[in-house]
Amino acid sequence: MLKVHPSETDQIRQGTRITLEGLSKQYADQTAVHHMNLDVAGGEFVVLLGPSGCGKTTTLRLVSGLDTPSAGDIAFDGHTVANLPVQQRNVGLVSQRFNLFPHMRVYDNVAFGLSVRGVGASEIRERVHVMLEAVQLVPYADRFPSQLSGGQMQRVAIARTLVTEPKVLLLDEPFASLDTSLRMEMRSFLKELQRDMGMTTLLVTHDQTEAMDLADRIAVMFDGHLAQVGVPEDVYHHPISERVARFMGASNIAPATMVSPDCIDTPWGKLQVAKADVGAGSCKAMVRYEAIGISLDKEPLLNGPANRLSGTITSIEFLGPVKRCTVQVGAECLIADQPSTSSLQVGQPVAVLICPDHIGLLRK
Amino acid sequence: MTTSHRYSKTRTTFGLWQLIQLAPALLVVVGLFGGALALALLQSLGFAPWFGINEFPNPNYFLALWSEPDFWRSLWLTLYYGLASTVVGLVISVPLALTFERRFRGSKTLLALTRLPLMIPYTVGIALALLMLGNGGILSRLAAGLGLITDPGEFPRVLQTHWGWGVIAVYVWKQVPFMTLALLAVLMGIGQGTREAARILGASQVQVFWRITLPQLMPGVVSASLICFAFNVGAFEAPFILGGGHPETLPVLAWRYFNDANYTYQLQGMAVIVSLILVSGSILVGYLAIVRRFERVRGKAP
Repeated sequence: MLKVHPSETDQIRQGTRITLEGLSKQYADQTAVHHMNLDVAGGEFVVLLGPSGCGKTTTLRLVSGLDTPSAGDIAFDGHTVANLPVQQRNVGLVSQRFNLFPHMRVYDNVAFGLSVRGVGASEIRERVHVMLEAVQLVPYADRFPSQLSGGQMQRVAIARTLVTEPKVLLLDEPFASLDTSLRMEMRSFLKELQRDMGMTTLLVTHDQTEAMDLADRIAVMFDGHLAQVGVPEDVYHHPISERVARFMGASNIAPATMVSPDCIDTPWGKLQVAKADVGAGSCKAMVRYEAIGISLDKEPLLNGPANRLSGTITSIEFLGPVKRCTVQVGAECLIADQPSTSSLQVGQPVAVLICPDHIGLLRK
Repeated sequence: MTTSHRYSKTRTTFGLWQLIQLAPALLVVVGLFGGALALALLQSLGFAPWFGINEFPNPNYFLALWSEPDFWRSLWLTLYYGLASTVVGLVISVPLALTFERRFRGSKTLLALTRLPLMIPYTVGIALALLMLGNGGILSRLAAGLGLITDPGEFPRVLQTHWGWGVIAVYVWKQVPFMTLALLAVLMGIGQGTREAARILGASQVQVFWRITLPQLMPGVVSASLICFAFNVGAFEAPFILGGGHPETLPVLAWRYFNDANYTYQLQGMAVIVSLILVSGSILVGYLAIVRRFERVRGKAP
């Protein structure tokens, strides 16, 4: 969809590998980022996910060069960039507030990065035009930022950044100030763009849906620490801790004891598990609401291996896409989301089916 | 977000309530200032029955004044002092504001120190200039003491010259804190965002200043320089004490006419005042018009 300069296409496609090594940022009264290690492959899309104040924006500012780390190192393709000033790092940053230049027209905003690099006037014209076409803003080239809508401003901010063909794209909550429908639209636009240009991308967000939609890998951060790094499915179904589990979405969590390497004992009953790498002793088990199947006793078993527990539905909430059923299993309750088209009734005896793959074991 | 920066396009009708709200300001502007202005205009055109003169309308006071080369020299001098000190003040204030925009160790104390002249009257500043910069002043004695010059009298003449270094020094000393204050407020409003964005896009510090910071700082520069220029053009005591004598600035010239034993010269003095108002008024209006036009082009003003 996006046409970039053919001569530079190949170089961009490879992408720049980013290595964060023991990265720390200490402010006078607090540690914003604490000894962070992260390897981002060339062309990879990594989302830094965490609640506000967890240090994810600081991490982005350190990578961009706007802030200097207190300790540790940042390397692009194995070469340290610690002493490289911001303007020479060749990174692109799109922030939540866009920070468009209010005194420049859309055209000049997009041309800025090229003109400060001393690119010739005719080449600037050509490249800005290509970029404005890509973000569908050609009719707005002569407008000032104050005359644009939020979505248009964001597209200017993206165009202005991409026209300089940065090695690394940094996005700081770029969708936060957009309304829901526009956010979805811009998300798929950005995803497509990133895939086409193959730029290594770091995006910061506190929205786990956005993170799972966009990321090749998610890096969950709490209090300046990296809590877990993994592909979205892993972070969602096999979170490392209760905190990550709760941050990624609602789930059933209960204490568990290891019985054998592939079996745990929970208040709901004995369950077969797939990934038992937490070691012996007690831990916690977690199952997402929608990972639980409910079937009436007379129905046949689901395909594949599944834990089968019997219980009784005690309540049903209708939430639109799903029916949220609370099922009494043994001494405890399990919450399971079922398609809202299912015909379950309160008081029905049912079989609860949980696939071992979808049981997460939490270390703490 | 899209409309918040633009002026409201709806205009309410002017009613009694608006009149009541405006009354205190109107009373001062129309009553005191407008009255004085009208009286000055009448006198400069020969209306002063309390002196037994009533030649209204007599343009001769203006014609006589404007035909004298000395008047034009005085006018030039007045504008030169006003403009030079405004420009020098800006050149000092802009970097100062940029420095104090970020907190650093001792920045609060330093900022308070630079604001000190705001609290000290002009006359004290003039006295300081006399003490420090005069040929028998502290700086000249210091220079002689250090052996840079053999006698304090050899110190380069700073005060009482038509270059007006002393006058400009006092204006700058007093107005830099004010300008810095105004610019700092605008800078705080702009924030670091656009400047950081420009640096990430590859701009050097110099490019950021000329292409991002200064254009956004212009509203502050315009209002601060307007206020300072208007004050400088009308100021009397600094050029009177520290100026280079004949030809003098227009306010000093007017004062001389007013102070003359021949009280009919007061009408001539009024012609000087009215001329000064005309010149500085049209400069200010022209300056504002250019700025407004510029803002309209940027789509900021209606």
